[in-house]
Amino acid sequence: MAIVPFKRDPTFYPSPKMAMKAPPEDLAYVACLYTGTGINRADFIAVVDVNPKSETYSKIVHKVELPYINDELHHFGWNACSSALCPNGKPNIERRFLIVPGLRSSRIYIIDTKPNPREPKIIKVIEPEEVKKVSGYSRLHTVHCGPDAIYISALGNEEGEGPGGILMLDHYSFEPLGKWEIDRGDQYLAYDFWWNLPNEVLVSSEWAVPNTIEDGLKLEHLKDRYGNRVHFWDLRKRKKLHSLTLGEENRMALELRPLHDPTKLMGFINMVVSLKDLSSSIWLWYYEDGKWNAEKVIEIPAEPLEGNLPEILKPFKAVPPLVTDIDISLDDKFLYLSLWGIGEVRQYDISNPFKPVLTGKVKLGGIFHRADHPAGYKLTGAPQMLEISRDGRRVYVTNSLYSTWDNQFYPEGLKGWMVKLNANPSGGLEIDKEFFVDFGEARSHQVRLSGGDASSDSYCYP
Amino acid sequence: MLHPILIAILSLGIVEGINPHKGLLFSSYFYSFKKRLESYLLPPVITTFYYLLGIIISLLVIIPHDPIFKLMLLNLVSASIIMKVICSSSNFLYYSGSMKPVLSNVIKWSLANSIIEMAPIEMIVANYLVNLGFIIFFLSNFVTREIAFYFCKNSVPRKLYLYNIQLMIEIPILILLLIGIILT
Repeated sequence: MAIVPFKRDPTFYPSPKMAMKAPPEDLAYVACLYTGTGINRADFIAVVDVNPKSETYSKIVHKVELPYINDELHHFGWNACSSALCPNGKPNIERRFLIVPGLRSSRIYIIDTKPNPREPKIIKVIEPEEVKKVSGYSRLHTVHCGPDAIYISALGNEEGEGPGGILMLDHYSFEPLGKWEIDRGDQYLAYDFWWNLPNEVLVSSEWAVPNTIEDGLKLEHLKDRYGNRVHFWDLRKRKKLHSLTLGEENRMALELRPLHDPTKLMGFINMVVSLKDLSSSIWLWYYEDGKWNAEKVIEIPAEPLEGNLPEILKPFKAVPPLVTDIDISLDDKFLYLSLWGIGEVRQYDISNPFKPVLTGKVKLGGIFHRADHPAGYKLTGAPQMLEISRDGRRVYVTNSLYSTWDNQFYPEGLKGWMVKLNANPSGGLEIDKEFFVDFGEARSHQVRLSGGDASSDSYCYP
Repeated sequence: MLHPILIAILSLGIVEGINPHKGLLFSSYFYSFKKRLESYLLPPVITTFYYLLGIIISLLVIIPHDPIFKLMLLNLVSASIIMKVICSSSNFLYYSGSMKPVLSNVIKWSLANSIIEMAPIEMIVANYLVNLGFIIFFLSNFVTREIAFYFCKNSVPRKLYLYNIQLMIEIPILILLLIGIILT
């Protein structure tokens, strides 16, 4: 582990407000996968130049090729972040290593972005057998830099069933430490998690167990095998405190986005689909008067469509919006939604989190819109992963959801791309015509920005 | 010799008082969570518990100025400097504890980290070099914390976070005090 003797990591900020004044990002690290494309190549982390003043702007400047095939890269994160500046945090740690798990393989790659951030290198590989032996978990998803370790969520156990949960990695050696949960109660399904550090609350969500999702979405599984709950945990005691069902008819409680201001114990979550009418919804969860509550604050209906539908949607004669990712700007002013079915990115003003106001939207690809990039690039797939820059001015968008599901919803083929949206600080979104990254046959998933972004860091100060 | 030693003790108290990672952040943290009274109370609380053992020893034990005790003190200060270098350069020797803005958590944090860092030695040295020197150290430390918090409230200047104050300033002052012990 590196030593930082005289200066602390300058990318750490005690509060989200201070982080908004950080210099703009130079590089974006993008998870790219060949899994599910029919091409027998290893996934890679692409390094994309996002500095408009650079000669290689909007280009892939390097690829960190992984040594194995079929990892299915998905989400990843940093070894350390601004939580190190919590009053009892560990201030000498530095943001240096990307923790990159394979969702399908359960293998973890530790990638060093120093000394040359444009050419990161793999320094350690944690094999799936080790992860399974130590934690009993597999299919690794969200990564967060925690106060005492690196936390990674897992969708299931060794056999691909439940319960899924969270495992911990040592901050310094990156060795798997084991299961995080001590008392999980009735929690069985897992997906995303995040926390409010000062209140010592962890929140987790539900997708489905690996055996349900890995071979593709089966409509007959929607009723019983997909989750619709959010769980609240005591972060220190590692005990589940409470669970809330977010609408009996809704399925797939995915991305958890607590407000960045740690004095506000609330956040948003997206429910991907309603069994009733295929709509997607956004729920606000919050703690008030000593109890947890949740209410639906946004509902997006399905769009009727007769022709040009993939096989899986033909019985419905409609395109579900499929809100598969959400993200909140660091000032907690705007909530962004990706509509992977319809093909839109939406921006909502959440100054009043109970009453979000639609302030902007753009059309990109999609089963419904089939919209191309304004610079003329053909867009397959639709907006999926979103990442907001720390100043809230730029939103980076990629288009792959999950290999087998990509093939079902976009059977004509999905080729990876990355698009940049310019966000107006007072509301409004537009597609940046100068920025387009084509990943060719590879598919693109999560983006991490150098120095941190709106979903990478946790803060202890408002 | 007295003036430079007094200046060193005062400086050490002041520098540790403005070091955000030695308790100043807690006041700001409590303030953010609308615990205003506690946030103003924290500077003396942190100073007291961070140096509690040193205060008790300074009050109860008078270290004689003879070669054997001088040698013991030199060894202790040297060990404390080594511990501080290790603690301020790595994260291995560090107690993090609970994140909840509760006074008992700060007390635990102060006690645990002060023992890890051998902080009480500073008090003992101050008292050895100057009669009632630990009071000078204690007062300069908590008054600085209180003033720093009064001016910073919920926005501790970023520059204070950016530099490793302990390694850059506190340890050189301790080395000066070590020289002071040798020369007295």
